[in-house]
Amino acid sequence: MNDPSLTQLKIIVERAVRSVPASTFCKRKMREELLAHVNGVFEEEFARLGDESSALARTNERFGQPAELAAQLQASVPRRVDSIHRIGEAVVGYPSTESTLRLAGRAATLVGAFCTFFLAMAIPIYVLRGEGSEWLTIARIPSLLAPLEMALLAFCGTLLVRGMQQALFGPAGRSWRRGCLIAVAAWILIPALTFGNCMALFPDLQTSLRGFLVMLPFGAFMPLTMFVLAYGVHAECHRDQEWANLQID
Amino acid sequence: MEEAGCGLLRLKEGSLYPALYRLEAAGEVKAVWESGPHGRRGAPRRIYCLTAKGQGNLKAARKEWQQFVYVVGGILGAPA
Repeated sequence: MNDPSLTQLKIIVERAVRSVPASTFCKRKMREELLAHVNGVFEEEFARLGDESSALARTNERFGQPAELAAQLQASVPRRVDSIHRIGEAVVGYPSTESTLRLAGRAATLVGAFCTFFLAMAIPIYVLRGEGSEWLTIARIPSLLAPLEMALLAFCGTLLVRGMQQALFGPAGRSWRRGCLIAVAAWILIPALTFGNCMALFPDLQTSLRGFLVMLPFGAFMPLTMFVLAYGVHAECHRDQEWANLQID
Repeated sequence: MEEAGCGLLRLKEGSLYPALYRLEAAGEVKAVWESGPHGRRGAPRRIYCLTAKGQGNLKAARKEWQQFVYVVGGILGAPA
C-alpha cells in the first residue's frame, strides 16, 4: 500500500473519531485499533479487486457512516475511567497549546502542591510519634523547603525538556550544539539547586561548593532523562498532530 | 456475522468496535495486540477473547434468548 492510501484509510477512521468527546488517551486507542481494522479490510478488498481506489471505496462502505459510528463510539466511552484521563490531561496540559513558560509554571505548581500535601501529611505523623520537636530544629529546614525546591526543579526541568525538544526536533532542524548545551545545563541543574539551597541556609561558600561537587555525579542522569522525555513527548505529539492535520471534510 | 445471519443481518464493520469497547469496559472480553506482523503491510491486529465473566454471561444470555424464542414462538403459533 502506498502512503496516499494509508492517509485515505486514516481519514476514514478520523471522520468517525474526531468528533467523539473523549480524552486524547481514549481517542488514540480508538484510532490505532480502527486503523488496524480498516488496514485489514483494505488488504482483503485489494486482493479481491486488484485496484486501490476501488478497494478504498469498498473499505469506506464496509466501515460505515462516520456520524453513526461517532455516536456509537461516544456511547461506548467508559465515562468514569475517561473522566480520570481527561482530568489528568487537563492538569498536565496535554495536548499542549500553551506557551513553554505557562507549561513550566503549571508543572511547578503541580509538583509543589503535591510535595506540600505530602509534607503536610508527614508532619502530623511525626508529631503523633512524639518526634514533633525535631521539625523545629535547623536540620529540618531543607525538608520544609523541599516543595519549593521540587517546584523549581519541575519548572527548570520543563524548560529544559522543551528546549531539548526544540533542539532535536524543532522546525529549524536538528542542532546538536544546542542539544549539548541543554544537556550540560540539565547536568548542573540539581547540583546548582543544592548550591543555592546551601547558600540560603548556611551562607558559606566552601560548604555550598562542597554540596555542589557532591551532587555533580548524581546530576549526570539528567541529560539522559531530558533526552528520553524530549523524544517521548515529541513522538506522542507528532502522532497526535498527524491525525489532527488530516483534512476530513 | 453476515454469513451466520444468512445475509439478512447487515452490519457495518465499524459498529463492531463500540460494542467491543463496552464489553471490554464491563470485563466481558479482554484484548491483546498481536505480537507478530500481519498481512502485506504488517499492521498488528488486536485480538479479543471472552473472559470467564463473559462466557458466563453469554451462556445466561443464550438461555434467556432460547426461552424468549420458545415463549413468543408459542404465542405466535410457531414454536422454535
